[in-house]
Amino acid sequence: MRALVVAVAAAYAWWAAGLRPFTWPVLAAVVVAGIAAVALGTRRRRVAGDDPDGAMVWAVLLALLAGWELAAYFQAPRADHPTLSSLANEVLDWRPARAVAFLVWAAVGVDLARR
Amino acid sequence: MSRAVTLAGYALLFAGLVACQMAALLAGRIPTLGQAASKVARRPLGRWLLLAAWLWVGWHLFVRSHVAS
Repeated sequence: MRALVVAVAAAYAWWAAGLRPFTWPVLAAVVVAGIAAVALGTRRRRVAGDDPDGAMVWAVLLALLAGWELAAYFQAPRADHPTLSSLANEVLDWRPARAVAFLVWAAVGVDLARR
Repeated sequence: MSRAVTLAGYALLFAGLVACQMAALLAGRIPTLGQAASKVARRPLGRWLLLAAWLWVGWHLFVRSHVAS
């Protein structure tokens, strides 16, 4: 059953990766994948565990990353001050990479919905 | 700030994230990224914020990207 879900998800990701950006079909594809990921994850919620303290470390690192990205965003030209999305676009220009990224994004959504 | 400096900054920060995750997995004294996300998700607002951020990433990468098709 899990193999079937993964196969369907992979096929969907491949199809979605071929859609043109800034169009209604790709927006619908992302929304549908989002709803499916949340629905799938919610069905198998994780039991809360006893996690160690210290989540502030992550908050600081992620805040620094966001700050670095903002600093790059407000500078020009973009080629000299790339943002994460402009760097990602260079990789995502290749359809297989875009499909894998879509699949990973959906998997992260399932995982988040389980928490 | 040149391109090399910008990229070096990203590399350093991502290395920090990886090091943090490795330290969490090996030493167990700090939470992994997943455990930290679980802590945030335990509150209804945190859960919705996490899901909204995830959905925004999907929209940003796949709907409004500048890739040529």
